[in-house]
Amino acid sequence: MADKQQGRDKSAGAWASFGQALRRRAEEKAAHLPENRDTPSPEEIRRTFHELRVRQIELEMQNEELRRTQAELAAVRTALRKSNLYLDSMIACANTPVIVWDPRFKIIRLNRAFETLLGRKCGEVAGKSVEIIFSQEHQPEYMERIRRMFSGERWEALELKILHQDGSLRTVLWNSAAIFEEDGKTPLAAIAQGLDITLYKRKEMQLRERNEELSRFAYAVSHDLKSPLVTIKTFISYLEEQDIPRQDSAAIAKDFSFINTAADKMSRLLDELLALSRVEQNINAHVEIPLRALMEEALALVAGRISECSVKALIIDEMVTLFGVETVTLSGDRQRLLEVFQNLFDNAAKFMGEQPDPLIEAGVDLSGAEPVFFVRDNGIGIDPRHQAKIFGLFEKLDSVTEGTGMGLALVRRIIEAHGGRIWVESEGPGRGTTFRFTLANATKISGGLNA
Amino acid sequence: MLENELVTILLVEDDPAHAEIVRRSLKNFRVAIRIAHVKDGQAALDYLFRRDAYANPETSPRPAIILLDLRLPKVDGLEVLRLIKEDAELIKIPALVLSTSKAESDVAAAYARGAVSYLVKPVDPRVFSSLMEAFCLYWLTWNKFPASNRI
Repeated sequence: MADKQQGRDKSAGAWASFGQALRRRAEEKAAHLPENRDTPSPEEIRRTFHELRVRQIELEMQNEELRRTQAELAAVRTALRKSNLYLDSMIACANTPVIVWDPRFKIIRLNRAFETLLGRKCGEVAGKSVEIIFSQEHQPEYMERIRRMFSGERWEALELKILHQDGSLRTVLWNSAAIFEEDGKTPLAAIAQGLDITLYKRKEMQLRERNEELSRFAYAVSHDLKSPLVTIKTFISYLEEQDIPRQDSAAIAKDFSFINTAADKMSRLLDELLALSRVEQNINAHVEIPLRALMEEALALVAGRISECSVKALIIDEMVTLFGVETVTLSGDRQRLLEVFQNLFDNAAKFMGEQPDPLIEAGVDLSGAEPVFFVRDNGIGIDPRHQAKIFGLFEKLDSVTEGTGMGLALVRRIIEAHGGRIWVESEGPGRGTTFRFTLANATKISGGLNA
Repeated sequence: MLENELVTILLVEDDPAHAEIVRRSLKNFRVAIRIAHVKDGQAALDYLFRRDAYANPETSPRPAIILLDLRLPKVDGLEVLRLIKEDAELIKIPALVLSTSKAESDVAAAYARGAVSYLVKPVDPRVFSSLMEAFCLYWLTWNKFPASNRI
């Protein structure tokens, strides 16, 4: 309030000195006028005097009017400043990303939320074409939408993907509109406000995957568990009604063997279903484990099969040496991470086929942006046509080999629970198989380049 | 009706125990049957399209009928159905599903891809046996197949 009063006083003072300056200039001008030598009559003097008084009053009234206008302008200026501040901080502090660009598609401003979305500061992108916020793949389509905005198109919950500095794409729902000059045609700027739904999208996808898995789970109970039951019951009836009364010892042995296999399969299925359901429920406390020790322990657990198939297993240290890294340490659920390597080693040994020099190699590749673990074999390989299937629950490519089709589904679950992903590479049947995976939330490297 | 003719059934079944059950059930009937047993969807397609190991029509005769499980390694039963029903010749071979699955989605999908019948493997051995008996009576005794199914 005091400030405001002072402002008004100050401007009143300025007004007075402006009046004085005007007076000075008027006197200077008057001095240069030719002097009137005729002596005016009293009547003329009276009239002129009257005229001057009226003029003076008129001028004072005009002055008053000007002063009022000036005060009004000051008030408008204050209000405008307030409203600007209000809008500015509203945009700046908003949780949702906001961006403004001009009719030539140059970025004028973006708020903090947009900086986060983009992974770049406003200063880096201001003045640049708005297309830089999109990936090259999307630019043609999105820029067309942006152009149409200046011919009056508004966006309502339009889904566009924004390119983050780190190369990732964020899915954002946009609302936007262009603003125009009073003529309603000449564009001034366009303002867009978004809602980052990347996380929701990801959750939605995970949910969909989980649902699919759940229905496969239900399917498994109706099919995979029922199937050995059919076997057990039928062969028991064969024993009772045919093979035992006939004392057909060869058939009896065969019947028992089918029953045994089916019972084993059921028990294995139940164990693995249980293991699978525990991956997320029951994550053990995270501990640090040197990668090498973990791989050695996993190898020891599958030693039986490895020696049975006379497989040579190697843990590759090359990459570690090459990059001067001292140790790669995993930090996570020890039991589960062990299961990952155990399953992959077991798998590799199981699918060796007729390979005369079976070899399994395991290690970590540090040459890329993030460490990639691998387990590679020179076994039977996987036909590219079937590679997409193998991580699904209860998928088996080979009907002969024992197994429930849950091993790799379990491996994938564990890896995903540790923030990683897994994929398979194989040039086809007979060309060996390489499983590669990352463990984003579980890898620590010490020494070497990253030290 | 088929008189004294050897009928080939293509049995697509990954579980060796179930294949044995089908084999034993069929053995009890008079009809002369030859069972060609394959253990996955890929092998079923190779057999039907006479590829690789199944190239010789002498040893891999065209089946009169296909008994198909749905959950199969490599290529699943539904995909096998879809592919054989796209073929002008193979479409003439009736394909029957024999599966443990009762899931409505499987039943609907099988018929949508041209299965002529859907049989659920019963847990009760007696029911299984009467099911196979009914199958033999209907499909192998009464049913008339086109001549091409025997080539």
